[in-house]
Amino acid sequence: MVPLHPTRMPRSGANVVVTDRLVVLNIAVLIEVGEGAVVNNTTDIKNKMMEHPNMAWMTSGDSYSSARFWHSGPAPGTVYNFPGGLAAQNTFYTEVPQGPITTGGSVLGVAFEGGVAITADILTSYGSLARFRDCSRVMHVNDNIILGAGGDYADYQFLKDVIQQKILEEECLDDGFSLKPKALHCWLTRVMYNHRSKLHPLWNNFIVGGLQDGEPFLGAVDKIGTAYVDRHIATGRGAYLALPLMRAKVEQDPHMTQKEAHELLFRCLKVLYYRDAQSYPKFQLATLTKEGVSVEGPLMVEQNWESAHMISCYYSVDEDHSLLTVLTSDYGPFPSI
Amino acid sequence: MALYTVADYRTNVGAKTVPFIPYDDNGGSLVAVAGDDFALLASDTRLSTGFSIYTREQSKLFRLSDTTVLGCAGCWCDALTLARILEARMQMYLHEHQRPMSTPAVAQMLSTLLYYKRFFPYYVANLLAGLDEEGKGCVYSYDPVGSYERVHYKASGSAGALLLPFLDNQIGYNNMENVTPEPVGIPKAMQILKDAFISAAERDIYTGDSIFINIITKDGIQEEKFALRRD
Amino acid sequence: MASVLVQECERPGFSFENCQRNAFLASKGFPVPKAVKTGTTIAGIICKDGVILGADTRATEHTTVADKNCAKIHYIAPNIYCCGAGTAADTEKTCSLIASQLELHHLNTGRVVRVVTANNMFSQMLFRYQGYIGAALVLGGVDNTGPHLYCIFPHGSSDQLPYATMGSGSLAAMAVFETQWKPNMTEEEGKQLVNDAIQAGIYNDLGSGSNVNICVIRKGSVDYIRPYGDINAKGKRQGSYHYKRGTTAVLSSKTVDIEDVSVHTVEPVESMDTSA
Repeated sequence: MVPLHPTRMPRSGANVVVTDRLVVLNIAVLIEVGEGAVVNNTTDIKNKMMEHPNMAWMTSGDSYSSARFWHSGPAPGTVYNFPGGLAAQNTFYTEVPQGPITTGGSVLGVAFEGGVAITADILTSYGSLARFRDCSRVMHVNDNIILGAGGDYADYQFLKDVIQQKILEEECLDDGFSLKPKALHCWLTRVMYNHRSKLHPLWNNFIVGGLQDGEPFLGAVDKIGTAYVDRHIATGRGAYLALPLMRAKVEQDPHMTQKEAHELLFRCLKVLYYRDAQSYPKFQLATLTKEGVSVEGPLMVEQNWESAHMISCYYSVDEDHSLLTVLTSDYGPFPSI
Repeated sequence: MALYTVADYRTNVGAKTVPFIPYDDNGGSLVAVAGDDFALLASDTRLSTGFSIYTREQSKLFRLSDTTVLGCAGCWCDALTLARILEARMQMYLHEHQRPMSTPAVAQMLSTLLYYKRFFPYYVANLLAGLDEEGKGCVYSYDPVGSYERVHYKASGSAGALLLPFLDNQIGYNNMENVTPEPVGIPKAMQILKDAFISAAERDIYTGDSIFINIITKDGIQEEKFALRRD
Repeated sequence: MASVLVQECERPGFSFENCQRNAFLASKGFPVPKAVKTGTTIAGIICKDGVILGADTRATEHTTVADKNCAKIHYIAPNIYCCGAGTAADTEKTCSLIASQLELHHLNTGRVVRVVTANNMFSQMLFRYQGYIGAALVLGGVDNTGPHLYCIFPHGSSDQLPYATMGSGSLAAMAVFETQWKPNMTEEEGKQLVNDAIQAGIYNDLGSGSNVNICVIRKGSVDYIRPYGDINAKGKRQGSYHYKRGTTAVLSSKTVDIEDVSVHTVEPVESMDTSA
């Protein structure tokens, strides 16, 4: 029997997944060992190895785990930190990078007489860095549904592809039926909930809008699958800054026209641009009525900075950006200068 | 002599990673009362997170059959999922046995479903109300991992601790001298239930906006809405 | 012994020995007790002839309402008032401390105290305590130089603004100001605007609730309106909850006869002259 050596280790069906930080080796079962003997699972390999007096180092301690491929190397199914060498000791869980990376901000949606409108700015941020300034976050799903997305942009793009594939497959059936907003909303709650249950969430907030049997429908889903339906929905910082304005308007005038709904959204976007440091003055506006869907934009927020000279900060009198404050505690926004 | 090594009293040092918490507390309160031939189940309609309100019009009651209603409060995504699973199981039972599941049977199944997730629980306060096989009102109360008991009345959810002493006093006649306990009827139960919610909305920030009441009798389930304060 | 010959000097700078002590005590199972925090909406604007301050009236302990009708607009001087958000005790005590210092300042100088003086005293005190006094304030008043409004943060920074909001409902209230505030509003318009801003906080922020309080400060006069308008009345109870005599169990009883009652009258002490 020829002693095994890393460079002479023949393997087939190796599946190496390279992610942001981790290299996960998922080696399939068929591995040739020694003099052409073929074994069909890792336990057999280990037993074969253990027969050889020089092979004791190949096992990583307990008799249930698989052998490592080389000294300090990974065993099948374990995590291997690529630069750094040592395989992770714990074979029972895998570490996944978590949290949103490139993120979109608030999404706003309102229902009006005969339709719905959803809007979001076109900025995606990398932490507090304004990273990409032309990212569409509203989606024309079909002639019955529009969708707005906040949170991790990659997760949104992933789900957008899945949704588009669903729509495509449905169109291929050509049976005259098309996805309805309630169905997409419900489907999204399951997708989001199942991901959160695997502790691997899709870090998004969605607003689904559309016409369900002629009636306007507006529903929200968040990253853990919390779902609700209302006539006005705002996510992200918009839940604090825009929702009060939307509620006041709907209470005073429950039967808004499309024009009034658009004016309300423009007003909300303006306040968000003034007060949310991760917002942007360019936005898209999706409107759905029985006439169809329109996605307008990029449009520009109307701004007025005339009162800026009336503000003087105690420490830096001329710095206009003292206007932009960040919510950091329950006292309210603390200024960071 | 003071020690001048500066203690690390700061809590937010360095880069922060956002931990993923798979639960949320969306609030909401439930009250259920069982009578001789009826059961009442009520929930408030405020769905909230942290210090903000998602929506003011979210009933937390799920009608499982003509004689059984489930109330869920707590983590709303778990409540939705649990209710959906229960609804599916009710359908399967109906088609297999050609009759709807009885309330005590639903109660046992709910307990099993909850314990099935013992180490990743549904973070939900459940109340199940309905009529049993004899037509008597029944209420079942649960903890999030499936411990349950049949009770005459119960309050749970965010204002459960505020509501229950009132029910103990007015329906249970606890710790009272020279009082003859009377079985509660629908009008009296409705009055106690509404008054309890009025008071809970005064003191619990997660309870408010309005309540949905389901009145379960042998003639079917009636629904009633009642406004609460909205602040 | 060096300390006998040369007097030991205090080390300069801040001392955080108590932080270390508190951390030690907490690790031994004696955490610092939690204080009442007023999840709050407070706001203020400058209008044509003065300043208008507003506040909600809810005080919370976590998710329970501790006080349904508390006053969050505090007296500082006859021409200055201050809204407080944050830890209830901190806002109240800080305001009364500064109020008494300003009264002494007024007696020393014989002038109407200026709002900027109050602002400096607040921000200096809060900075000295490095944020451990959890007071977030909206300070407003009218002095010889006109109406002024300041927004003071718990760590001691402050802004002079034409309109300001603070507390957990500050974003809801600010959304109203950002869409509706304009320079030189009349008093009536201003009161309506502040009312709308506070109500936005009351209805959209769970930490804020109950009534609106408004304080209008003009040159030479103040209107403290409590409550402003009539909102959020308690729902009407449908039943009556009176108990018959004898419902409460008497576990044991003991009777003591009282004899020889004597009455002492205490003469009032002469009160301090605080006029002018």
